[in-house]
Amino acid sequence: MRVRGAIGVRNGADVIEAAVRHNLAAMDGVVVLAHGATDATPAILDALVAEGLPVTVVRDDDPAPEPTALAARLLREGFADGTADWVIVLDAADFLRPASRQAVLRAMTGADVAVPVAIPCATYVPDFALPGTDASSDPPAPLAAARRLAVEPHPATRLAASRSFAGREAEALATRRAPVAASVLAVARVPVRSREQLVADCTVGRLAALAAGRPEPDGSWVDAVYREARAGRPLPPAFVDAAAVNAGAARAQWVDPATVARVDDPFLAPVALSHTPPRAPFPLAQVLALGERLARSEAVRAQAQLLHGADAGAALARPATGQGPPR
Amino acid sequence: MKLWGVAMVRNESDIIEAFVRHNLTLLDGLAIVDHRSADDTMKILTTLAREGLPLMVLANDAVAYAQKEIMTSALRHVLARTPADFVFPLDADEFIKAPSRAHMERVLAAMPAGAHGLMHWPTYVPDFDLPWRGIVACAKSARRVVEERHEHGKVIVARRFASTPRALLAGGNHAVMPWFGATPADLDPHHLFALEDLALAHLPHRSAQQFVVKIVINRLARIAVGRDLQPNRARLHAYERICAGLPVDAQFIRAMTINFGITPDKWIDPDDARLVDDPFLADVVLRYTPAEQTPPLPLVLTAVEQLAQREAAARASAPASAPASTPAAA
Repeated sequence: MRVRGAIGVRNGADVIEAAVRHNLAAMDGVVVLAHGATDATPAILDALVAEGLPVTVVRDDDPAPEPTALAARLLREGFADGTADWVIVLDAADFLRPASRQAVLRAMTGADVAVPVAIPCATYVPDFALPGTDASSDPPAPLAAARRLAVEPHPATRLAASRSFAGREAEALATRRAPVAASVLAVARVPVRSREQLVADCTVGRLAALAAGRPEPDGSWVDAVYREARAGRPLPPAFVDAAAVNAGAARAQWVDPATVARVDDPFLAPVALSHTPPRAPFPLAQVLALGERLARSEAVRAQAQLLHGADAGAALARPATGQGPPR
Repeated sequence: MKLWGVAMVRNESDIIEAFVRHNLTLLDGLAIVDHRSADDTMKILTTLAREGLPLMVLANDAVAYAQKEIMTSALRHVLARTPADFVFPLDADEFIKAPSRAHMERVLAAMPAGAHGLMHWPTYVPDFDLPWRGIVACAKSARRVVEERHEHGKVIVARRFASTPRALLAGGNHAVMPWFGATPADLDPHHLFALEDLALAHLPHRSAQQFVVKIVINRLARIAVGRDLQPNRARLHAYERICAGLPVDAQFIRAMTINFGITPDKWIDPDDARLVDDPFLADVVLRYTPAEQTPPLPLVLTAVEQLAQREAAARASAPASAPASTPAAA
């Protein structure tokens, strides 16, 4: 049986190499869909391909693909080379736990190929008050030091689908899934690795969704973080911790992180990183990269308007107040 | 003689009140176009207007930075609605420097007929090592660069501009162009005033936060109008440095300021620049200027939000198209 991972990533330079190397210990190969990356993610993926790892990279310019369409696309890309019996859809900061082929085979062997599988997620949270985990100066550190939530406040799963769904990916998404026991196979997810990464992901994510015409609902997880950043608030470790514990949940559903116990339960396979940048993600740079792209699009539209005879001087100043001196 | 100023501003809450109060010690009025400020600039301007200061506050909602078009439009607006004999196109970081209003009127009256005026544009360098204590302290710490190496002056527009409908301000307000696309040889005469008679003190950089905001938002707005910075511009290097997360420290901003308007290949060591005490700021008392500066990220987020909303609107009105994808490796 051949199992392939299908990973979607936008800006994941701090984690993608670790995730790929870790997950390759459990699967025959991975396909990574890099959509709208503005950080070092594409270069890291190219370097992994150049190493000869069984990694396929697909690029897409869209920084905010519609989530259901993205999941279907990931399944399709997973089946695209015709080698996979099963495809597991993962996020960039997802790590199969345990990282072993035996565990994956055990989960899939005997599973009904006509029924997609739901692999439970276990959320891991670094200690953001500790120096060295927040700065990401040593990229595996936030992963290695992360502790598992004893109880999931917002349970999540990841999809695995058999080859029988190749060509019918949308059906796989709509079909009821058979759960896998967490003791057999789980996905360790580390959605928040540092304050900088949290801010970068949520600001770029919200702006990209807005540009795509699918604005984040008020009070969504991304919106909650975005509002803090836009208000210029510094996001103290306690807020980052709360966002990590409540990853993906609307703000109104957040639980007090102090009420959620953490346990030591290491998940990371021994991986040696060669291409991950030593520095933490830089939110301003990532937002600017998206802004540049949107500005270039605006310039094309402005040029088209000029070509169609619009007067550049026509839509200029309008009175903002009635105040003014007597003539 | 009636003298007005016109300015286009964006995110200038740290300096706008000082700019208004100082320049109104020499001018009869100011028309200010706010270009999508996300900080308190507009609030400060409307409060100043309510104080009864001779302010005409305008707004421009364009995402792009069409400076010369907007400034020309605002200039014509002022000439049409006020009896101004001369109009000073200004930026928020520029402070008219003259011994007195009477002296300024004398030198303007002595200008050759048919000419526009041109002021020297000396750069002032604050002490960037000092912690931020407000714009007045910053301006008072600033010293003038003695040997100015950029070649730009700043124009003063005579009323006859109103009767030349094809004329427009050049980018940067450095001259009046008789028509769009005119070459330097086509320009009307510009009379250069002596530095000590009438000049425009320029305080382009005040702090690391203000510097970052200025560099990055200006570049986005320039890209949006198809007027990106040329590859040899120091501001582009600064932008790239900011994006790379390299430090924007006092030493770097000082070098950028002393070499303002100079391409990096012609920069001098800031330690080789001669600076002189030559105060420019009038005695002004600020009432509305916030004590703290606005950090860059919220202002950038606001600017990019505006671009994102424009993108969404354009997508909504365009036919759907399939996203392109490129298999990169197997």
